[in-house]
Amino acid sequence: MLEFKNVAYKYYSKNGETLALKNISFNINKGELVAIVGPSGCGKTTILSLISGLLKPTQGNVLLNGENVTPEKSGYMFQKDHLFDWRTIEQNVCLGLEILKSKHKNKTETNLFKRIKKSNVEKKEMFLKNKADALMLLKKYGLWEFKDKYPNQLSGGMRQRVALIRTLALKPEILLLDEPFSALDFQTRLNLCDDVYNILKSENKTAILVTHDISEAISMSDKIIVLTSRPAEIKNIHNISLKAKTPLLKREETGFSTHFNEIWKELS
Amino acid sequence: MKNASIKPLNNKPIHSKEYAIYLKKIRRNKTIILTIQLTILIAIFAAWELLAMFNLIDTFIMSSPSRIVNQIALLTENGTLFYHIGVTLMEAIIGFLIATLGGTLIAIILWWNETIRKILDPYIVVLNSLPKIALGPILIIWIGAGTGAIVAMDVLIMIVITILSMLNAFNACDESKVLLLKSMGASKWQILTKLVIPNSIMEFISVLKINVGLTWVGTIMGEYLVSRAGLGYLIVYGSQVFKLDLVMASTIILCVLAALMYFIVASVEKLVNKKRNIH
Repeated sequence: MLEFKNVAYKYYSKNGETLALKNISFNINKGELVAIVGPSGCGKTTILSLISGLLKPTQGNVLLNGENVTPEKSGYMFQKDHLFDWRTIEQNVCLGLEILKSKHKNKTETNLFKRIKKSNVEKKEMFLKNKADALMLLKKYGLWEFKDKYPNQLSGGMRQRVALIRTLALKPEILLLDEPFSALDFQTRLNLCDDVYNILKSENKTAILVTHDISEAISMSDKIIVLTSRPAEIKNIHNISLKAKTPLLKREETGFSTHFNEIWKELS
Repeated sequence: MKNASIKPLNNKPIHSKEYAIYLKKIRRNKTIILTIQLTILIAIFAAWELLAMFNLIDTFIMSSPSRIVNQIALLTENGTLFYHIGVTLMEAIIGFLIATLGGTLIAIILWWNETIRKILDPYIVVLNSLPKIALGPILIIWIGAGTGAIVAMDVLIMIVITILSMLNAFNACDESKVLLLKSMGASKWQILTKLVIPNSIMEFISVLKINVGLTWVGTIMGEYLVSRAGLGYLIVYGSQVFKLDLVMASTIILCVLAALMYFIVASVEKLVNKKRNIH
């Protein structure tokens, strides 16, 4: 479970300090998909950076299962896919695993040389196992045949799916989605919403989605946190109880427009 | 998964007749350009030779293609040609390698530590605008009149621009890609090796291309200042004793060498592009 306990965050720059977040408290349960909406520039991305541990709160605590957050515990997905052009799809997917591998150390062996040797063997085993899992994900989500292609040979939607699998490969406890669909055309966007939703639900991942798009937030999430303008405070938390199986179908439910109108009013 | 918009990438496209005509046109265009290029080259040399033959120009100051060929043959016979080429080539290659690799290494250090970069910034700016040849006499006195001073001159000419270009490339790396790696828990070393360096490969190749030209400038300039051998030495010597055949012959050999070295770098670029799937 992820907890925000009375969190505040200040940015410092030469021109002074800016209070970005104030009195932020909420809980997210395991497996939940939560959307954060709010006026532009209100500090939505700051919340994600706090969860990822890239930023430390000025005040309060961000806890994941009772412990402080670190970058290893969460996976980030950005507006752009940020695939590396010089790596094949398979190599791109393994990027995080290479970093994870280099961090592994054997802790039980006392003899230094044996420990180094053992660590190296374990590193390799761990990497190969994780890589096999990542390749399974590629297979499962229809990207297997493109694993030896380069990013510039794939469409925008496919690239974003590869980016998601690159993040999932690290088996993060929590996924942070920072407007992952906003760089795509509307058609691709709707399809990708369905794809990402299915992937997240079938892998039973906790995820936080930052978006400008109210309909996207309603169709994808279990809960929506509405923020005020800067310094951001929580205005309201909505529980979304739409029954349909996919975001696209949820958009057609009758409850959808009720939610939309409520949130729309809160934002304007 | 919906990927209806993607056509199978491994399907060989079927060419139409019009496409064949289009390809043919491109090929023909290429042939025409090459033919004209060669014609210009031959025409210049032929005109030069003819003007010399009918005494319309003074071969004493203008030389002529046949005299240049004779001069090269003469140098080959007495064995000095390859000695002079060897000296200059060695100086040019050593200077090129030191400046390119050293400059890149310094750029990495400056990227790594912002404080060092800020401290050294004004020094680099001044060094960059300083005409390096002004340092020639100092180099000769410090290092001694020999190959060392020539290579030092050569390195000085290239290294500052290498540092500046590479540092620029490193700093131009997309901040959000750095953030991506950080969110994966990457160390600074990993950010450098997995992102910043591979991301700057194209810039590195353009630095190679610039340096492959500049290294000849540096070497020949160094040889003008101080040398007992090399193509630069031959040119200076030839002009002092008014043997224009020697000056022209050395210059043409220099052209060929410079072109060869550039060609090697261009092949490296092609190889990298191919590996990275850029067309």
